[in-house]
Order: sequence, then structure tokens, then C-alpha cells
Amino acid sequence: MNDYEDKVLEGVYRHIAKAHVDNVAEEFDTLSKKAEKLPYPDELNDWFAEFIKQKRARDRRKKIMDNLHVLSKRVAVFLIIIVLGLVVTTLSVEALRVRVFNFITEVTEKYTSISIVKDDDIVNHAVDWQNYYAPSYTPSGYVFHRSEQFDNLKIIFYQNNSGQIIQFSQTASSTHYQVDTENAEVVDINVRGENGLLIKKEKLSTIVWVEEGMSFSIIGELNDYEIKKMAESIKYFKK
Amino acid sequence: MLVFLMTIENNQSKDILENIYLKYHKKMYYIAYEVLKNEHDAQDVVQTSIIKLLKYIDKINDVECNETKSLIATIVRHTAIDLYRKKKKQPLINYEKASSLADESAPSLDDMVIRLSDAKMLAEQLSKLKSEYADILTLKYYYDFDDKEIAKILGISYGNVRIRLNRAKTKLKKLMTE
Repeated sequence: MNDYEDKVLEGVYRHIAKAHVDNVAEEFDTLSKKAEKLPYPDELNDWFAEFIKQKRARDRRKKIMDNLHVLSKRVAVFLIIIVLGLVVTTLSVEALRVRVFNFITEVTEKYTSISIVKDDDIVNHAVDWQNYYAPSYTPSGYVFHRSEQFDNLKIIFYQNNSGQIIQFSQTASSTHYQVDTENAEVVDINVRGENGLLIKKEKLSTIVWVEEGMSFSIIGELNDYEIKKMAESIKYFKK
Repeated sequence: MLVFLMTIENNQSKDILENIYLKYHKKMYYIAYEVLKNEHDAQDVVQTSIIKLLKYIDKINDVECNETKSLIATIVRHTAIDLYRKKKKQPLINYEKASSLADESAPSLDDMVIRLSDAKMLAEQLSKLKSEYADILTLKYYYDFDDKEIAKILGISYGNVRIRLNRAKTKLKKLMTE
């Protein structure tokens, strides 16, 4: 039998089936009087009431679960976007990246410094760079606090118990410095045989000099003697 | 409990199944009772039929149309017959074997199409000959149920659906040649 004949036969069956549906429905309608005469058991009404009650509860639960499912998908997508955004931001913004890595480094090295540090160069053991300069002398009470690096610029911070900070910076000499000299006293000085500047503004002193292709600066609330002594004490460290 | 049902009737949120029950529960019970002649068995049949209807409720859009009435009547009647058969321990295979397939000759397609003007009468004849044949053709070709769904509605095996469907087609073809 070919497809055409199958289709025609299917149409014939469908036509007869429709006639059967109408016949059955017609017969169903005629049952009204007979059905009314037959006593209907109350137990069936009770059963159906309970059945519908349970069905409604199921439908409500299903609706809630469906809504939760849709909501959880949206929340998941939202969280993924947020997390991806944070990761991209963290890895693409250098300042953030450095701070994150520095934080990790600082925690571990504070622990190691307790057992291996020597009195005269406490600062150097706390810095995790391959090549760097650092003062071997720091004024009384100042200890290594943290280090930061932005491209070629390396900065070591020292802090005393009062929370005062000394900032020692080193970078390639081509780096352009901007020092606030407004209403400041600027004096030419000699540091380690090189020309330098001592800038004093209110309590803050800054010393800047260039040596072996590197620019150095020290900033802190220090007197002339202490800041010069610190500058003179820098050493080159290589790991 | 009737108060509860009336509450359902006045409730805008009542669904199709509730409407079906409110409109047709007495007729459903009557059809089941006519087959089984037993109150408790008829109750079981109404309950089973409602559970079956719930599975196909998505196919029902209008509670009062002929399609819905016919489907309800078919489901209730066959659920009752199934229970009756189980109670009497009548194996279905004997029931199916009882119908003879002898002397069927296939009419031409043209003859069948011409006879379609008598569709109502042919459907009646087929139903009188064996209502199960008219029902299975209807479930298959009008309601578009698949064989597994038909097996569940009629309470017969998947294999028997195929056998009964083939016999129904053969009987119908024979009627169309008479």
C-alpha cells in the first residue's frame, strides 16, 4: 500500500471516528435522567474533594519549584557575571593585582621574619624581590611594614609604633618625579658622592638622588641627620 | 461535602477536572454501575477514571464539547469493563480471540470514500458489532493517542492494542462493502 492510500485510509478512519464521537456524546447526553435516578454515593464526593485538595497542593508546590528553578538559573547567571567581572577587573587592573599579591606575600613573610631577622638589616629580609636596593639603617623604632611594586617603581614602607611612615622608593632614573615644593625649603646635598636634593616642608622631609642609573627617594618625618644617614646606608640586594 | 463542591463551582480558579466532575460525575457513576452492577466497584471505576482523565487533561479545552463527553464515556466504560474482566477472571486473549476474522474482503478506496456520507451509520454499526473497535479507532485516529496511551485507557496490553486496531480496521472495511 502506498503513502497516498495510507493517507486516504487514515482520513476514512478519522471520519468514522468523528461520527463515533458524536454518537457516543449523543448517547452520553441521554443518560441524564437515568443517572439522576441512581443514588450517588457521598463517599465519592468526599474522595474527590480530598483528591482535588491534594492536587491543588501539588500544583502549588510544582509552581513554587518551577519559579525557584527559574529564579535559581537567573541568580546563577547573575553570580557568574559578577564573578567573571571581578576576576577580569582584578587581573586587568595592575594596581589591584599588585595589592592582592602583596597581601599574600606580606602575611607569609611576617611569619618567617620572626625567626631569621638580624638587628642591622631587618628591612631586607622582608622584601621578596629578586634585585633591589634597601637601607641597612632605619631610624630607631622603625621596622619594615610593607613593600609595593608598580612596574619599575619599588617602594618599601617602614613604620614605628606611633604609626609614622618612612617611604623608600627606587626606580629607573628615566622615571619622572613630581615633588611638592610649594612653600618648601629645597637644599642641594651630596648623597653617597652624588648630587641630590633635600626638600623640607612642614614636618615632612624628602631626599632625592640619582645613583648608578637609579633614582632613589626617602620620605618621612625625619630630621636632616636621620634621613641622610638612612640614604647613605642603602645597599644592593640580589637573591 | 456538597457544600465544598458548590464552593468549587463558584470559584473562578477551578480547573477543567473539577468542572468535569461537577458536570458529569453522576453519568460517570451510572455508566460504571451499568457495567458492574455493584456500588463499590462503580465507585472504584469513577475514581480510576478521574485519575486517568487527569493524565490527558491537557487535551481537553472545552468541557461541554462532544470530544470531551465521548472521551469521558469511553474511559469510564473501558475502565469498568477492565474491572469486570478482572473480577470474572476472563483473560483478555480469549476475549480477543472470540472475534472472527473470516471472510473479510477489502473494498476499494473509492468505495470507502463514497460510503463516508454514511459515516454516522457506519460508526453505529461498528459500535454495535463491537464497541471496542469503534473506540480504539477513535482513540487512535481522532484523539491521536499513541498505542501506549491507548493500552492504559483501555486496560489492555500494548500488543493487544495492535491486534484490536487491525481487527477494527478490517471490520470497518467489511462494513463498508456491505
